[in-house]
Amino acid sequence: MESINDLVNSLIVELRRGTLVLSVLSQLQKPEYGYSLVQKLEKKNAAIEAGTLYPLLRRLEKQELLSSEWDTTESRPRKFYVLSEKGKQVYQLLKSEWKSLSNQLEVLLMEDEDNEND
Amino acid sequence: MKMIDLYVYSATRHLPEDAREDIARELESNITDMLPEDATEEDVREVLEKLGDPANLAAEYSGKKKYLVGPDLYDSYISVLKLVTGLVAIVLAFIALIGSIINPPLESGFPKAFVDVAVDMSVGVFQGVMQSIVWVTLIFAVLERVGVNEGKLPYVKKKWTVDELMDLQVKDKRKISRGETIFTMFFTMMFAALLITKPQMIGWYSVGGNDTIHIEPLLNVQRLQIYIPVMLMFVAVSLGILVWKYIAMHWNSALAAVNAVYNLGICILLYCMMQDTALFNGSFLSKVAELLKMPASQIMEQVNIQKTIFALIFIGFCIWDSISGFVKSKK
Repeated sequence: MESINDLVNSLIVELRRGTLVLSVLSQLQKPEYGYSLVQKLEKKNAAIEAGTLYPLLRRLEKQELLSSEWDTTESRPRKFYVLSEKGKQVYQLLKSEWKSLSNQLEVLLMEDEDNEND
Repeated sequence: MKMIDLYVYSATRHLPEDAREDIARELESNITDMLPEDATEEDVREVLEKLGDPANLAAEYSGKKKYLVGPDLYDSYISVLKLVTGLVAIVLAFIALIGSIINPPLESGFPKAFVDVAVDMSVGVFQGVMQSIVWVTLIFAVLERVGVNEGKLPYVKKKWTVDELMDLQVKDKRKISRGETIFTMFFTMMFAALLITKPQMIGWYSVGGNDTIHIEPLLNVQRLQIYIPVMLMFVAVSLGILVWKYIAMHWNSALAAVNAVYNLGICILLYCMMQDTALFNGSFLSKVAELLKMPASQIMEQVNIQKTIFALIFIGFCIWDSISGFVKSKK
């Protein structure tokens, strides 16, 4: 059983990895800083490890999907990220792709359930 | 707060300088955000452990390749590794064998001499194989990083189309035979190993008194030492080109250009070595003069003629090889 659990866990990690970018982009319509985004995702039950998220934000910025700005008006300086124009486009495309993907998968999985019920 | 500083330092110290400071500042502010007001040491500990090993974080930030040779090059890597280590083992065993036949350790008696030769041979082969593993891996790690398989370099990899199947017949003209490459590799290694480890074996062989074989070396072994680093470099480049030929299997413009530059380089090296009179062993020349029954003054003249003929043939061959590379790549 142990090996099945291991296998399932690693497959789940792979599944989730594909959704990371989409989840992050979806939450950056308004500027967020690293930890506020961690909390926001946690609240919506889509938690991402802080150690994964912080580097991911920078990578997305490098790919010009996000733009960033240091806010030094507060007592503590924070780096805020928000979707860029390119990021918005990419987000819309990814979103529709995800929807069709999840519909396709839904059909496949439903089919399987129907068979089981036969 | 010292713990946070250390964590940030250790996660960012290997990052490129231009990004390091900004990442450090951001990471520090993120960590501080994760802590409650009036954080205790225990809180800091918890947060840092949640973020995990700073080395992993650093790897995520840098986004660099975390492997030496990727899946695209892996098959070529393994096949070249087998080829090169195999050739090296054969070449070194062969050289050790010749060495012990010409210069047998007779004084130590039969069984012991046999063991000595076997041990010398195994040690030499083992060291050579280890060296070649290192070099092949290094070459492939470099190839991986310059992006041979990502279409970043021109001529190397294009998107596959059915046209390539149609081109097969045309491509045959550009083909570099693997057999030829292996053959050249074998002789390059053989020649390099001989010249670098046992230059005294290239010379005039004669049977002296009590049936011992006497060798009068062609080259001045001491003088040759100054050329060894350059020669090693040439051998490395040459093997690199051969490996490239072995993988690419067809001529292309980049390969032809590198090949031509290499040929030019080796001609220049040969010219320098030929001009260096101290490189040739004087006793070898007198030996030849003695055998040909020729006065010493004339022998120098003869040697110069021979040298010129050799150089011309060599340069001619290099020019032909360079041009044929270009011609084949254009077919």
